[in-house]
Amino acid sequence: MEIKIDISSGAIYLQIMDRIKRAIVRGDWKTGEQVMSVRDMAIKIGVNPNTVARAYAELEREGMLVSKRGMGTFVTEDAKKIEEEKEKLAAQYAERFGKEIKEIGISVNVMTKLLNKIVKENE
Amino acid sequence: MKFKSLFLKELKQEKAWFMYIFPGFVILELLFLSLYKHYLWQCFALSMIFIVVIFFAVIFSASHSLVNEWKLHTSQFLFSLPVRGWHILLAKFAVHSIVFIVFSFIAFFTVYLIAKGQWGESVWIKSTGVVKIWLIYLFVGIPSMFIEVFPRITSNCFMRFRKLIASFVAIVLFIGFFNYLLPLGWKIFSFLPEATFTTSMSGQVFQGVPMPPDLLTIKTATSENFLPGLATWFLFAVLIFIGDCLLLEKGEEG
Amino acid sequence: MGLVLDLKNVTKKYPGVDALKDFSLSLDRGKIVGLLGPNGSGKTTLMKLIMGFIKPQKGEITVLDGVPNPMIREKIAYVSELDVLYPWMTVREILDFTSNFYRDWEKGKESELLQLLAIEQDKKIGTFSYGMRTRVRVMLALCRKPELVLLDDPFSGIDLVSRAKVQDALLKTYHYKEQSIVLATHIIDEAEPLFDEIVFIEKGQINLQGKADDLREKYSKNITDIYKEVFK
Repeated sequence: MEIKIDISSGAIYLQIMDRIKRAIVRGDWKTGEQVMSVRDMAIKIGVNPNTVARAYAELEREGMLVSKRGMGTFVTEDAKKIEEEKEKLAAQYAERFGKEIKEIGISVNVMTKLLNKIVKENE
Repeated sequence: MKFKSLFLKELKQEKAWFMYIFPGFVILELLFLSLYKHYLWQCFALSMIFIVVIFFAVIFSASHSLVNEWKLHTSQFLFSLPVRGWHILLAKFAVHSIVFIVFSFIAFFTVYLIAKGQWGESVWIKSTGVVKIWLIYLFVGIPSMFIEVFPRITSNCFMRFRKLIASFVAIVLFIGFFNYLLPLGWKIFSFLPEATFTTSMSGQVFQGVPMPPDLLTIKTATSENFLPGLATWFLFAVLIFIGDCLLLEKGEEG
Repeated sequence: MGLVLDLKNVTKKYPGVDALKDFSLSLDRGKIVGLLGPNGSGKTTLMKLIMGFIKPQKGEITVLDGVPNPMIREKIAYVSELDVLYPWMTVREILDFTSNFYRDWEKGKESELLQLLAIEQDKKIGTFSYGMRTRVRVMLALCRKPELVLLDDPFSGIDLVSRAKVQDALLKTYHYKEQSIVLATHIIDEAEPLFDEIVFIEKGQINLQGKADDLREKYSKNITDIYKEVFK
C-alpha cells in the first residue's frame, strides 16, 4: 500500500489515519491482518515514528486497529465496524463533492449524469 | 585506548616529520660528516646551527599543530570527543617530543662525531659529556612546548584582540619567570647539588703545541644556580601545562 | 520518561550580542525536535552550551540529568555546523579513530550506513564535496547509539541528494522511544515530517513551541509557512 504524505496539507497523523482507513475499507488491509510496526511504517513513509504511533493510537481508539500485547497491531476483525467506516467515508466524500459542485452552480440532474459517467468509465 | 588513538592520530598528522624531513635531515648530516675533513668550520658550524634550528622548529610545530586545529575547525570535532583537554594536549606534545628527541639526538651525535674526528675524544667533548648536554637540552626544550603554547590557548578564550592578548601573555610569562619565579626557585631548590662543568685539556695537542699534563685542567664553570634553575623551569612548565589544559576546555568561544 | 534537556533562565552574552536571553527550554526524552530559526538566532550557541564547550553567564543547564562536561559527551552525538573533519584522513580512518572513543559505537552499522549514505570508505575526506563531507559527519553520529543526538544545521549548503540521504539515514537508524534528536535548521522543507516537536527561536528567545502536528492543525499551515509567518 502506498501512503503518500502531503506536507502542505494539515496534520500528518490525520493524513496517515485517513490513508490507513481507506486501505482497510478498500480491503487492501484485510481484517485481522497484522499491520506494519510503528518503526517500519515510519521509515516506509518517511515520517517521525511518534507521529505514526499517534495515528495508530487514534485508530485504535476509533476501533479500526486492535493492539495485542506483545504481538503487535492488527486490523480489527469487526466487519460491521469496517462497513460503518466505509459508509462514513463515503458520506464524507459525497458531501465534499456535493458542496464543491454546488459552488460552481451545477444542477442535481447534471451532477447525477456526471456521476454515472464517471462510474461507467471506471468500471 | 583513548590516549593511544589520539597519539596515533597525531603521529599520522605529523608524518611529514618522519617521512620527508627526516631522510633529508639525515642525508645533510651525513654530508657534513663526510665533508668535514675538507670544510671543517663550515660543516661544524652548520651542524651546530641545526641543533638550534631543531629546538625552535619543533616547539613552533607543536603550537602550530594546535592552532591549525582551530583554523581548520577540526578542534570542534576533537573537543566534541569524550576526552579531557590534557589527553589531547599530551598526545600532541608526546609526538613532538619524539620528533624532538630523535632529531636532536642525531644533530648532537653529528657534532660529536665531527669534533671527535677532528680533535679526539677528550679534548673538550666526551661522549658522556655530550649525552649530558643533550639531556639538558631536552629538559629545557620539551617543557618549552607547554609554555610556548600557553599564550595561544589563552588568547583563544577571548573573542577579540587575540594577537595582542597572546603577545601580552607571552611578555607576562617571560618577565614573571625570569624576574620573580627564577630567583625564588633558586632559593627553594638550593638543596640541589652544585653543577660543575670541567674541561680537561691535559695531554692534548692544541694548535700544534702539546699541553703539559694537569696544567690545564680547568674548572671552567661551576654554578650553584644551574640545577635549581632547571628544576624551576620544569616546575614552571608543569604549572603552565595545567593551565593549558584548563584553558583549553574553556576556550572554544571562537 | 523524564527530560533530556532542561535549561532554566540561561543567558549567554558575547561582546555586543546576547546570544541567548533568559532562555528556558525543557524537552522530553524520545522525541525528534526541530530547532528552527534564522542564522544568528542562537541555535549554535544553544548546542555549544549543551555540549559544555561554553558556559552561560546566568542560568542552569541539565543534560541527561547531568551537568554539561566532557564525560557526558559519551552519551551525546554532536554534529557541528562546521566542516570539522581532518581532510587527510580516509573515511575508514575517521571511522576507526572515532570508534575508539565511544562504548556505544555499533561496528555493525558501519556498512549499512556507508551504503545508505553512498560513501566510499577508502576515499580521503579532502577529496569530497561539501555535501559528501556532511554525510560523513552525520554518519559518525549515527554509527553510535547515544541518548541524545545534536545536529547543528546539517542541511545548510548541501546538495539535494545528500540532504535526502541524510534524512533517510536519520530516520532509518533512529532508535524509536530511546533516542532524542535535536536538529537545528533554517531550511525545513522536506525535513518537516521528521519532527515531533518544534521550537522556533529568534534573537536568543523562544518565539513559539509545540508539537508539530498540533501547530499544523492550529494554524492549518505547514511548518515552513508557520516559520515564514513567525519570522516575517
